[in-house]
Amino acid sequence: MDSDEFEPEIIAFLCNWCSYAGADLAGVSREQYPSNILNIRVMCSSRVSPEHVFESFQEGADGVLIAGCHPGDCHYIDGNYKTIRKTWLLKKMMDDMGIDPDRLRLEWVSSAEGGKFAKVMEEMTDEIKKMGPLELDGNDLSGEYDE
Amino acid sequence: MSEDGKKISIDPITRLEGHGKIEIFLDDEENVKNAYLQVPEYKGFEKFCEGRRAEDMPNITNRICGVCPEAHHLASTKALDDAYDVEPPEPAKKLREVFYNAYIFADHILHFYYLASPDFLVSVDAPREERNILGVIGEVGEEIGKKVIKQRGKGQKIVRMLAGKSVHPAFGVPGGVTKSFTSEEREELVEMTSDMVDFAEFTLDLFKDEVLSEYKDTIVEDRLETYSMGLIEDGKLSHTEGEVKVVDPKGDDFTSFNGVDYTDVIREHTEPYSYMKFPYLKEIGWKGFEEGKESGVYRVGTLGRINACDGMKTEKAQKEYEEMFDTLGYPVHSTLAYHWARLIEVLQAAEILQELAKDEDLESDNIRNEVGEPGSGVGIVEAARGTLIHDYELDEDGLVKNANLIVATNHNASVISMSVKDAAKKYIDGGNVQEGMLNSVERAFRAYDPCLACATHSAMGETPLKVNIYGPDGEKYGEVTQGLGDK
Amino acid sequence: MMSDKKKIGFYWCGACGGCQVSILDIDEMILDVVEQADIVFWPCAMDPKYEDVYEMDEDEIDLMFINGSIRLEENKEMAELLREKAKEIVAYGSCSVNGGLFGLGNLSDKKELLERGYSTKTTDEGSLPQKVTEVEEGDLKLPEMLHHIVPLEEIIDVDYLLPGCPPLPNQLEEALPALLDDDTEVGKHDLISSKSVCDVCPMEREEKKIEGLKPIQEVEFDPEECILDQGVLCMGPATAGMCDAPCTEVAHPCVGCNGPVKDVKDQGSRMASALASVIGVEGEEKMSEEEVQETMESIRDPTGSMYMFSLPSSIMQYRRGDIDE
Ligand code: SF4
Ligand code: SF4
Ligand code: SF4
Ligand code: FES
Repeated sequence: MDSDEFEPEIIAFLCNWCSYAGADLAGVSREQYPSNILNIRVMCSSRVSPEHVFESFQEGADGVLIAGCHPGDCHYIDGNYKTIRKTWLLKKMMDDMGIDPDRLRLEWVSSAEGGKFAKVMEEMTDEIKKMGPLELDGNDLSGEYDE
Repeated sequence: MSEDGKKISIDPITRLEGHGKIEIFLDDEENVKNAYLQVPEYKGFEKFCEGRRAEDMPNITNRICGVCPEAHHLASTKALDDAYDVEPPEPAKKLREVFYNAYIFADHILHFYYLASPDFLVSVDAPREERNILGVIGEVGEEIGKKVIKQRGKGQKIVRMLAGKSVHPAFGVPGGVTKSFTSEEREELVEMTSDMVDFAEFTLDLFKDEVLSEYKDTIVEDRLETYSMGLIEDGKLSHTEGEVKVVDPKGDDFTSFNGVDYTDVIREHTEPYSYMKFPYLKEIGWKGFEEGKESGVYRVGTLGRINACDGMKTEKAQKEYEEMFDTLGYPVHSTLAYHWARLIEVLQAAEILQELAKDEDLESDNIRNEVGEPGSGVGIVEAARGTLIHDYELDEDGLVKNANLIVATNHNASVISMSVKDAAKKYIDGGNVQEGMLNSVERAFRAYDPCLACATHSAMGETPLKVNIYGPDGEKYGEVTQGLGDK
Repeated sequence: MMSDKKKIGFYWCGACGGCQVSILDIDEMILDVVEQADIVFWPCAMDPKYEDVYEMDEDEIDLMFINGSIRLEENKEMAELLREKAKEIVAYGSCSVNGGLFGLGNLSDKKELLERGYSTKTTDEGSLPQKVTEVEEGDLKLPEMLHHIVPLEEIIDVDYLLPGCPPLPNQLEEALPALLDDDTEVGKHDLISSKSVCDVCPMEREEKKIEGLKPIQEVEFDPEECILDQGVLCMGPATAGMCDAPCTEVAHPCVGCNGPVKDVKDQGSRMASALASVIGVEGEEKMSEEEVQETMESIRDPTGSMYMFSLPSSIMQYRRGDIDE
């Protein structure tokens, strides 16, 4: 294996009722999916706040996945509709802040869709590999005048 | 540090919004060769206004200046009226007028008493305790001091009644305003404005008795002959409505403009040593920091306005206007006459407020008109310190595509530099800095109404200034300080 | 002359001046302050003349109020210097606490900020402001712009945070006596309210579902009703309420000038969450994902309007340049 190759770090926020189970299933059924993913279980996709996503990037994530129940199936009825809206806003803000909005992905994964989960993760990993690491230049205040 | 010449730094100067410093260079005979005003302050509004929602602009741009946020707020709102092609209903216009004249009143009072008057009224050897935060009280007597605070407070209060806050008001929207007076509030307004005119007259008398009589020679002596610019409405001095007129150094009409035509009249020169730009008259061109008809340098602010107009809007102010020109001749070029003109404006503002307070329209609900499609717009008002221009281009979603801002103090950048240089020339002689120099440089500044520092400065007593004199090798060989003592 | 009064000072960094005026606006209360404290350092007093401050002893100033944003190199140096000379530092005003309005500049890089300002339609072509300019008589220096604005507490240790743009008299009436009195314990974040502007707003917010946001100029507006309920952006839900809501009191939307409520880091995120829950339309369950997203497109410039005063203290802080084009 080429150790120099960039391995993106991805944080996946998974709704407890569908997607987490889906990821679990992927694991149990030994679906191959990239290993550099940190799964975080949340009670509902709508519990993921923009703060969590921004913190993830700030802490070094190259990509963030939010996964929840398919529309209509949310345990809290309209939680995932809020998620759709929030994600839309977030992507806009990310764009303004110079982070490629494609580093954030929203997917619906049911408890039966272990295969889909694996596929999504693989796709995402590939895409982010292409984008390269998210470089946050810390708090360097300097910078020269440009003539 | 310069290799051969000597350099004197006045750092800080404090008579600007924000920071400023003066560098004075001496020639071989150790006389003043040149003086530079530098403004080390930059925010980048033109850039970060891009992409913002049009309706946020009055609240964004008022943060350009916390001393005259009302001016930016209204200029911005007017630019939006223009961009959305909407005329506010009559009552909204009157409410804006109340808002604005209250601001002019408070701001000018603050300037005259807190900033300018110590130059004229205080004896320099007054003990420091008397030059404390309310120094003016010690200088003009407690009774007057209290009056000053009360009257200025009224202006601020009127602004707050309409706009919630006096620093960074929230009031104007495209096509109108968000609030009118309730009937109780209007009663209060009538009551509050009842003695503002008296106070304005009292202040003018004080100026004539204490300042004019004693300092007339200085006033006449300190002059710069430049073009003058100001907003006029039907020929009368205006702060909010009308067209901008420019008169030449002789007082003859040069040009006038409205709205977007300002780009035909004004250009801005840049110097790599300052973040502040130097506007000039396009037709004449930038000829450097020179006075006279051949130079594009002009003045704005109270003196610029009073030279540009044919008279005042109100009766009592008109009388004072006549007296000023009878005394000093027309046009007036003495820098110190800025103060006199300022007080005449205070009187006009008070008279307008008193009159408007009686108007029942101020209680109307009809305070906003429906807007049209977003386009481009220019808003021009006269801030206390001079002509203020906001120019926006909006996209179809009502987001700002482009913003150009020409701020009041900017117009005066050249004349301020020139006044400073003159003062320096007069008081620096063979490398010796005479005591009067600091004062005089300062006074030259103050006349233009140095904004914030004004407020803070007199609170501390005299303005601390420090001039360093450097020898050819860069070694400091002398310094003159004022007001830094007592440590 | 020695006195056992407290020594206090005020200094402004990249500011608008409003924070200074706010101190004058406390009217007679300033007399109580002067009773208890000597003002040894006032912004225009020594300003960028560093050496006067250098000469001061360590901790010579008891309480130093610093307002304005850290925009230029000079602001940063001065803040660092004042930290040495002052026992306690108050970050005064939203610029100082949260980066403030000028923090919107963090959405661009500094080159863009400079170039745009000197390429307006009325500006002559010429060079941009330079760090050092050689004129005939010698050199003139200007302090350099920093890459982006940061809150004061990222430059130096700060003892108290007092946001507001500017802080209002009612805030000062509470804060000043407490800060000047040794016996009153004040925590760093105690001067920030944990109540939101909505909590202190005279209008009752019903958290009605709204279909989207409309520009205020396009809404027939009821001055008595909650602004957000009427579909116009009001930052009240995400903004700290120390001001007692003077803006909504006069029927003007809150623009969020106090920054986030106590213990919340990211004002824009808070508002985004609030909007995501309040926006919604009938029959949403039957809509496609794209259709739901469309309801959001009515939100114009979310970043600029929701981080208007606090971008530099937000989690992301500034534009990173991941997408360069
Ligand atoms: S916090 Fe507001 S009032 Fe204070 S300096 Fe900044 S912009 Fe001005
Ligand atoms: S008007 Fe604004 S601050 Fe007041 S309750 Fe509604 S959203 Fe909150
Ligand atoms: S209501 Fe909002 S905008 Fe107005 S002062 Fe309070 S925080 Fe600032
Ligand atoms: S419970 Fe799964 S998205 Fe709400």
